[in-house]
Parts: sequence; C-alpha cells; structure tokens
Amino acid sequence: MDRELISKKDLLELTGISYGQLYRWKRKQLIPEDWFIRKSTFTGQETFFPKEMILARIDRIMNMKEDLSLDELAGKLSPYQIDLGLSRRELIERNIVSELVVNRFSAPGQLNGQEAYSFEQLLFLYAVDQLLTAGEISLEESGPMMETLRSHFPRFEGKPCELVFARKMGVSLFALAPSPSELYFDPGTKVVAKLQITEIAEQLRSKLN
Amino acid sequence: MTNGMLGDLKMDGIGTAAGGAYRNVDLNGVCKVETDIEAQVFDVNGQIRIRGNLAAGELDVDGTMAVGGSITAGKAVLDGMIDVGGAYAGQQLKLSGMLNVGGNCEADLFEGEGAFKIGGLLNAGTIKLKLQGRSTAKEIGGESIRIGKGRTGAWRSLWQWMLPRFTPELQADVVEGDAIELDHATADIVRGDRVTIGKGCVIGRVEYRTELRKHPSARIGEEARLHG
Repeated sequence: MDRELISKKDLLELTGISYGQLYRWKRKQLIPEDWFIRKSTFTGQETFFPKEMILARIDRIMNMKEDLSLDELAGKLSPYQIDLGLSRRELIERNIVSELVVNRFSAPGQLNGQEAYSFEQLLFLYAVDQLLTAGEISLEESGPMMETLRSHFPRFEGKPCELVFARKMGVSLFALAPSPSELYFDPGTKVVAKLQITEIAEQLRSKLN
Repeated sequence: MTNGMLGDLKMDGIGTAAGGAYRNVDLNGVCKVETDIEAQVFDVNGQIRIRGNLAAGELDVDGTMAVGGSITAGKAVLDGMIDVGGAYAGQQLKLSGMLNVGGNCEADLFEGEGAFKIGGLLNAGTIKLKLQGRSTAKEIGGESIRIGKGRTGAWRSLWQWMLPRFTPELQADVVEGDAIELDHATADIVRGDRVTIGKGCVIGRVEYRTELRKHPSARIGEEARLHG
C-alpha cells in the first residue's frame, strides 16, 4: 500500500513537538510501534511516519492532553476503543459503509435501527466494504471474510494484525496474522489483498470524526 | 496483579520452579524458572535463569539473571549481570552492573553505573548513567540524556588495558533528545535541542536547535543548527 511518509525531522518542525515528547508518547504507546518506519537515506538512518495518520494522532494527543494524563490518554487512543452508537441510517447516509454490506452483515436489531453498532462491528463492515468496492473479493467471499474477522480478531486483544486474502486455482482463503508478519505460500497461490487492520481502524476513525 | 489470593514463592539453594503468578517471589541460590512468571515483589540473589517472560511490580536482582523472554517491571534495582533476550519495559530502572537487552529498552527513569548493550532502541525520559564499560545501543531517545564516564583509578586503567570491554565508552547509531550530554561517545548522528558534546567524542553529525557546547577534544564531522 502506498502512502505518503513524513520524516521525523519534518514532523517535529511541522508540529512543534520535541524529540523528548515524541519518545515519551511512544513509550506510553500513544503512537504505535509499527508507525515508526526506518529507512536509510544519504544522511544515515532516518525514521519516517505515515503522514496523515501521525498528524491526526498528534493533533488528538495535543487536544486531549490538557484534561487527561498520558496514561488515561493511552486507553482512549488504543485503536479499537471508541463507541459512537451510530445507527444503520447514519452509516449509509454518511457514506461510511455501502448499503449492500450493511444489509448483509447486520443483526436484525441493527437493521431496524433499534441497536447501534460497536466500533469493532463497524470496523469489520468497513474492512469488508473496502475490499468489495476495490473489486478484490466477490460478494460470496465477503461471508467467510466476515466470519474470519468475527471469530479471530478478538484474540489479538488490540494488538496490530493484518488480514491476508489469497486465492489458489479459484479457491479463496482468508487469514488473520499478527503484524508485521511474513507469510510465504506455494507458487500457485496469489495473495490478492493484505489489509492492515490498524490502518483500517485509523481510516475509519478519521471518517467518523 | 491485584488479586489478594496469590501465594508466595520462596526457594533457597539449587532448584527449579514452574512459573506462574505470585505475590512475593524470593529466590536465593542457583534457581531456574521454566515458564512465564509474574509477581508483585520479585527479589532474587544468586544465579537465576528464567525461560519465559518476567513481570514484576518491584524487581530486585543481586547477582546474575538471564531471562529468555521480556521483562516488565515497575521499579527495578539491578545489581550484577542481567541478560534479557526480549525487551525491557519499566518505569524506574536503577543499574549497577551490566545490562544486556536483545530488543528495546524503555523506562521513565534509567540511572546508575555500569555498562549496557541494547539491541534496539533505548527509550527513557531521563537517562543518567556513568559508564564503567563499553556500552552500545542502536538508538537512544528521550527527554534528558546524560551518559558519561564513571570514576576511574589505577586498577581500572589496568583492567581496561587488559580487557577492552572495560573501556567506558558509548556507541550508538543515533542519539535523539531534548537535552543531551555525552562524553566518550561514538555516534553517527546526535539530534537535540541543547546538546553538549564532551571529551573524547566522535560524532558524525550533530543537529541542534538552541545550543551546542563542545569540548575541544571532541571530533564532530558536521554541525547543523535547525530553526524550529
């Protein structure tokens, strides 16, 4: 996945925070480890960050840290914990998840608007929707994908993970693996899509806010 | 670790324990722990080997300890030789001796005397160390970083002459922090707000914001002042 990166130096200059603050936030797990991307440049090793995600995150930390201690903040920011209580109608109207996916994977109570969606449920819907609209999976394949997420995602307990979708001779399979991971398949297998769930969560969060 | 029903583990002499969760763990002698162990107070003396991970509210080690996994400790006082295969994460870390960490080492406060070898990033709010031996880390980051040479004497110099690993010097690829004070350090890049480069340093490039102070004997390849 191609995304815009920002170097640590530029980031500090842009946001006006110091090295110490950045390292402190990293220590308190306000900034996830896998956002630190090391690359070698002509001046030696440099650290880069996914630009949009880190800027949004720093903005949130700066806004929230006035009323909360850093430890309290860490709980708030851990990527899978926000409950907004969005209803089905809002989801479709705000164009977060397509109607097709919503109708297919919602509980009856959610369909008639009596129950709201939790962030985790939204995340699954959003992930399925992403792959479907990108044309990488078919509608039939979205069922097993949802099942994989629902039954195995809670096991990661908020740790970063990625969803791998592979196909071999027309047969498809989904796997959920801790991230970063390296998976190797036999030559006939094609990895169609890889989804960083943390990244998806971050995208979804910025859409919801 | 808030469960009041936890038991204690006490072992003297030579022995092996299975691991588990305890309130107090007190090991003296040559002891081995086979799996992960968790305790509110973890006090060991002698030669200790832990196969799994160690989690402790308070950690006190005298002697040598080897941990195969990672250490998580609130307050730690480490005297002797400590080897950690994985990562170290804690709040307060007081060291007298040698600390080897395979992964990253994180603490709010890291102070003491001795030597360290950290495979990944050493990330601490305040680092205050006096070195007695060769210390290395891939990266060092924090708010206040002060790493210098510990006390010396005639016997020390003899040791250093015989065994180069007793030479108190620091080696790191990158050192980044708000206030940095180094001496006898070798680093590719040092970046910070207020940077002091002391005696015997060899630094490839220094980037600073407010001020740079350097000892005449320090060798600095490039200097750059950043305006932030």
